[in-house]
Amino acid sequence: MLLELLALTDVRNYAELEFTPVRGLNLLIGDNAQGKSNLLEAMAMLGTGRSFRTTHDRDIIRADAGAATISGRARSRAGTLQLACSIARGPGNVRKRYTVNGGPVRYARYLGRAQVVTFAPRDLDVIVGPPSRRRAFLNAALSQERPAYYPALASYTRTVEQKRALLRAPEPVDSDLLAIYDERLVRSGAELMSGRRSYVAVLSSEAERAYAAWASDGPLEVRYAPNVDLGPEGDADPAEAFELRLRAARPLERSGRRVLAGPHRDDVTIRLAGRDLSIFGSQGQQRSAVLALKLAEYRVSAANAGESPLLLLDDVLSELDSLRQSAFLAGIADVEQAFVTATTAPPEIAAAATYRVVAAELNRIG
Amino acid sequence: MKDRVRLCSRCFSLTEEDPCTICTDERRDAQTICVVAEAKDIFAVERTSAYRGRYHVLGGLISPMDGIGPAQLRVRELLERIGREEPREIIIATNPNAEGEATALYLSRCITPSGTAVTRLAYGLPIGGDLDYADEVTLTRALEGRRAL
Ligand SMILES: [Zn+2]
Repeated sequence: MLLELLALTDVRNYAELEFTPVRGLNLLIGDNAQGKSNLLEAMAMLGTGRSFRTTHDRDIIRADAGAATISGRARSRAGTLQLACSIARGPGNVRKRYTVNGGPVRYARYLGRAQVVTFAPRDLDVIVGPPSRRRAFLNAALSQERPAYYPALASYTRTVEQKRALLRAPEPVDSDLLAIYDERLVRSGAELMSGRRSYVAVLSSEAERAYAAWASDGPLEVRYAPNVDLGPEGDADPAEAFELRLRAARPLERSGRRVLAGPHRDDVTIRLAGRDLSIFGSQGQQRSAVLALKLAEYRVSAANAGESPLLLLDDVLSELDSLRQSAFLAGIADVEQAFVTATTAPPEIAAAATYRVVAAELNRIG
Repeated sequence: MKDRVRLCSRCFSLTEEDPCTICTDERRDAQTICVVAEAKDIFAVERTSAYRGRYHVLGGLISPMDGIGPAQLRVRELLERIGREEPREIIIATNPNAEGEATALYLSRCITPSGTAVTRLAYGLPIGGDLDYADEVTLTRALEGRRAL
């Protein structure tokens, strides 16, 4: 994936910007709050339609502007792609629109056109945060990888909310309706489970290998921990297993008025030498593990798509010691294009182009 | 009482005369009833000119989050109408989103015991697509390719 042109209108602190990055490593140097992370955020949005820094799309629109537009031209294996994503202030929520090659498309059809892997300081939460952070990590990666995943996720999430509301309503629960919700949950939930199961399987072996390349206190083990028991080998049919689990959980779900069974309660366990990393790991081990996970995400994406994804490293490289920095850079040596932000240039990096970002102005300095 | 918009007492669409002109049009097929969520969905289907049956407006979709269960919709009225008119086919044309699909499945469960065939629009629309947004060609294809529920 090669981003040839990025154009911003009223995005964060950028009123207007046209940026023509180069192939290879693009290094963006600047002090905080000058706009380098905003630029990476915009690139991530161009690929995924979502920000990695906020869930409030409103924040992305420049102060006093009515709408933010991010557009770009990317070259991928599939040819040249013209992408645009715009966010407009609305009466209630914001309105988001997506276009591919000039034609409007729905979000589900926009996702995955230009694959992006992002690595930012808050990704440490994937290791130390609650299970929801690990599910969010899987959802973000799988939504780009598998075309059926995002529609299933949207349907599943909404149906869980409806089922929860049904269980909590003051009137007696309509059993027919409950059975319909469960049927719908099984269908979309099975796609989530099989997607997560196969993704974590490949991710874990890549992450294990990456970790072993720079530390000997492993092995790093990453395992899918589904809420629905998929058998001792973890290879049970997700739809069948989920159906059984729902049937068993039904009395408790009804009496407790809670949605107890299903992949909305999945987790991923991350262990180092057999011990839970979030509890027993040192900060250095946790940082190394997230680095290994991100490198694995990059490698899996590249292998699946047959081309390297756009790699966005927001303020993470300079925090690594030189051993880990070199190991990470070696792991992404085949990257077609990457964007790296830092306050000062990381010593190990050989950038193809260096830019200085000051007050939403971009100047090439090397 | 002219020019006063009210609900048709048979199909619950918006009308100035009761019953509405679709319900009283003898050239239309009384054996087929197309179930839609809102009255505005009738206009989307009518635009295609591919449908010659009658309608039934539910008045929304099942959504416990919004306090809407089957009792808040015109489900009972639909079942009574099926008992009275004995149609051959009920086409459920709710949007293909989570609420539209659940409502379609619910109606199918209620109607099937009566022996009336229940079909669903075969959407060429992306998931989450609306009837409103569908162009005539897509909607006509969805009507022609409807499948049993
Ligand atoms: Zn009528």
